[in-house]
Amino acid sequence: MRNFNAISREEQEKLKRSHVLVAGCGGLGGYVISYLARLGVGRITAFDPDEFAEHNLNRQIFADMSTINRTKVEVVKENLSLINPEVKFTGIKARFEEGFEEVWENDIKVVVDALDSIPSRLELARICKEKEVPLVYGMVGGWYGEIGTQFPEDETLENLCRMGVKGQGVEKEGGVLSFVVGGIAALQAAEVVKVILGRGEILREKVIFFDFLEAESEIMELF
Amino acid sequence: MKVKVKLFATFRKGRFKEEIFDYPEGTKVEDVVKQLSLPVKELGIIFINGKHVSLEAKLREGDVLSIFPLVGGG
Amino acid sequence: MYGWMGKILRVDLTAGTVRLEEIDKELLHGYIGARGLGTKIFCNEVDPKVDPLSEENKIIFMTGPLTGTLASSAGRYNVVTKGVLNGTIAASNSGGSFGPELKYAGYDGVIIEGKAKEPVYLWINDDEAELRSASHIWGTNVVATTDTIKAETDEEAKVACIGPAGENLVKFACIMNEYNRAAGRSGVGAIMGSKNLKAIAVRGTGGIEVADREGFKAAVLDARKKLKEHPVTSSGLPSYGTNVLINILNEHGGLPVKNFSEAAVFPNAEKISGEYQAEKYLVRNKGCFGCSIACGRITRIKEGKFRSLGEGPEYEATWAFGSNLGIDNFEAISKANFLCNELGLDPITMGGTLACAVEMVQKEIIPRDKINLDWGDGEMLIEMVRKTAYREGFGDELAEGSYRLAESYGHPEFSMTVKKQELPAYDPRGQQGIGLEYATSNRGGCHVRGYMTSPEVLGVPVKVDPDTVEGKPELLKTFQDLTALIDSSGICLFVTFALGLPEIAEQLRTATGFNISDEEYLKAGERIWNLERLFNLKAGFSGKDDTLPERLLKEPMKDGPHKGNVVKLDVMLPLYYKVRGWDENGVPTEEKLKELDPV
Repeated sequence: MRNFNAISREEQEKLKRSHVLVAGCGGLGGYVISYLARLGVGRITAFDPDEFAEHNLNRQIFADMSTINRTKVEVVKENLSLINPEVKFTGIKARFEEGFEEVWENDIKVVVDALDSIPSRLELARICKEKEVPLVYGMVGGWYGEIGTQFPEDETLENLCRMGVKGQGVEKEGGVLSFVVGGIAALQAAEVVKVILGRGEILREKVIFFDFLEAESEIMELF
Repeated sequence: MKVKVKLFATFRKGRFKEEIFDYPEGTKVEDVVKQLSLPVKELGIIFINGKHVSLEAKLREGDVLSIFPLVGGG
Repeated sequence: MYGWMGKILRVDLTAGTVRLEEIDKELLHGYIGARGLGTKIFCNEVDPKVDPLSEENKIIFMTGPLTGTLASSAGRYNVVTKGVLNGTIAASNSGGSFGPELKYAGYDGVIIEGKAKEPVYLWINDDEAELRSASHIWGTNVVATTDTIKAETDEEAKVACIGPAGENLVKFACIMNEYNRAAGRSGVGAIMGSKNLKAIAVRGTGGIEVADREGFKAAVLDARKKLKEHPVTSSGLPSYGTNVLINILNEHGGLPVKNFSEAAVFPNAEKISGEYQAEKYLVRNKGCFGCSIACGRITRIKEGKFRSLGEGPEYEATWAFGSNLGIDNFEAISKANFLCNELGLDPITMGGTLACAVEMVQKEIIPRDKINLDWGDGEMLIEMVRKTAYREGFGDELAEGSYRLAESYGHPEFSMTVKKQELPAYDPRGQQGIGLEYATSNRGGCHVRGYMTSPEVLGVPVKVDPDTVEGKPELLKTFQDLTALIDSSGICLFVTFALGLPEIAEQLRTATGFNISDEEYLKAGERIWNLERLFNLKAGFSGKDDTLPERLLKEPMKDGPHKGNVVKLDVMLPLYYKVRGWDENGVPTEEKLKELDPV
């Protein structure tokens, strides 16, 4: 493994013993899963009810001419076996709300939100509270993205929705650009690692907005 | 003569909130505005002792000069 | 139909039915929409002498032809009813996205009548609408109510609801939409409460047609450009919000202190100012639907006993809970404001009523063994806000507003109200024009019916002398008529810092295809103003009610730039009546009504 120095041997072992759940295997999900696999996270469980389609090509890393019409979670599994065969990947072809109860294991350390709608995101937040597990959420739209980590006792995501600021560009603009997805997914992966290792500055009770067009970022503290 | 100058809102950035200056007799509001490099286009309300005045108004010993950028609300 | 949707929903709560109706097109051109159209429909259908809390009163939610369109700051809707605080015609205006959503669902407005047997909420999902039980959310605050209804209907639904204050018929309960935006004044929330209507939730996915697409686009771009170029709307309001006014009014000597009993200069104004808020507590600014100004504040008190997060406080609330109560703790003020949002209370009347109570305790009119209130007590403020919403203990007396409170102790003179509605944050002894505005506002004490602070203090669009009475009646009439037009078109009053009648009329013309001149649009505003006046006269008000609290007419300002001033209302009012074309008793003349035909 080439993560040494940035991550210690003990920490690498810890990642290997960790189990992460990813809701969604589209744009954000694909990147997050590939980052986590390359980092050596031991177990990844992911949900997605869909197949790859042509309109995914612009931003979803596992979408290509050979995978169109194929089930997303299956394609991800095949790719992971090439990236890092040691990862134990469980892919479930379902929406996470429908499938999570059956596969839930108490060793799941952190959940990643890679969903594309606010109602599902809030539902995921509710489930994470119930399961007492941190949620790393991310949203993308046009040139904009935002990301943060919510612990079970926090209300950051709910506050974000109640304050109605979630839409300042994000998700309102049509189309999502590939690098925005990759960028936000990279930050999500970093949050996952920090949560697992208990190291660094976690974006807790705050959200970072990125404007890739104006090269601006803004941190909004919502407790 | 001593005059208290108070700045508000965006005019405070890089300047100050409130300071007392010693100006020569006959100093006008516009001299203070120039000295502080306040953008004339953004000038809103100018008070001397709470009364609205123009740029040509002359300052006197003990005056409080308050300068606001154009603002609104309600 | 262009601009307008042409349809309204009529909800009979007694029968439990929802009916779709075509809007009477004859009314649109004369009354535009929102405040004007809502008032016209209300006046056609409801007896002005109706008891506000009775089943016979109605409550109308109405949008304007620009609401939800590309026009900037076009997120407004109005709630029209007979207000419970004072029995005048109430048109309470709110922003956010509720109004636009209602139009996207296909309606200009909703008329609510009757009274439900059990608590209900109205769910409008495009062309389907139904009443649902609200028994399970009755008693919950605005946040819980909104969260629950969204979960039960659609996460994207826009919810306008009442909190405990509205349920408990607090006379200054408001209607809150999308958690933090308020139809704040006149006690419209209590009307919903009296009807057992907890909320209206709406989801709309349609669009709005405009008459002249290219023309409208050009008019909107022109208006948006001017909003972006004007320092007030491009930088002042977004950076500091309305709270920037604290320091201005204080320097001007017009920031009321302790129930208007002291000189209108607050020594610690800096500590409650917009500058202080931005430096210490501001998370970021926030805009309503389609607004380029984005004056809203998201404020966070990070730690301590006032730890909280929410929207606001705006200038009015900061003043009402700040200098008007002698409080210089911005954290307590913010927390009290957020609590008002959650419980559904109007902070202006809340602060005004509490200030009246504190003064009466200080003067030993209210005995200390009954309630111990002092100036400058932030914790007392929080406790009283909560108790008022639930009508607990002394809160039950506060819930009636300052006029009834002061009158019940035999001293109505300590109520700083006009027509029983509490005055906002400008001492009229420092600004003659706003004194006339207060006295003649059709809903009683109010600053947004002809905002004279703009010319008298801010110098927008032109600077006029605040201490003179000359020209004030004429200027006020124009401001009142223009405001009535703006409120009726569905855009926010704040655009007028950068836009004038020509820009607003051009957007209306191109959106609706109703090609009348600027002056005729302004005339619609005047028609609406007179219609409201006629309603109040029929409801029992008269020229005698066009007055101010005695203190402002007789007690000279104690200190500051306007020391020695009182409001010269006796000089201005007769002139105002004349400018309005009303007789000496303040009644519109036959001639004026003919000119405004139809009123």
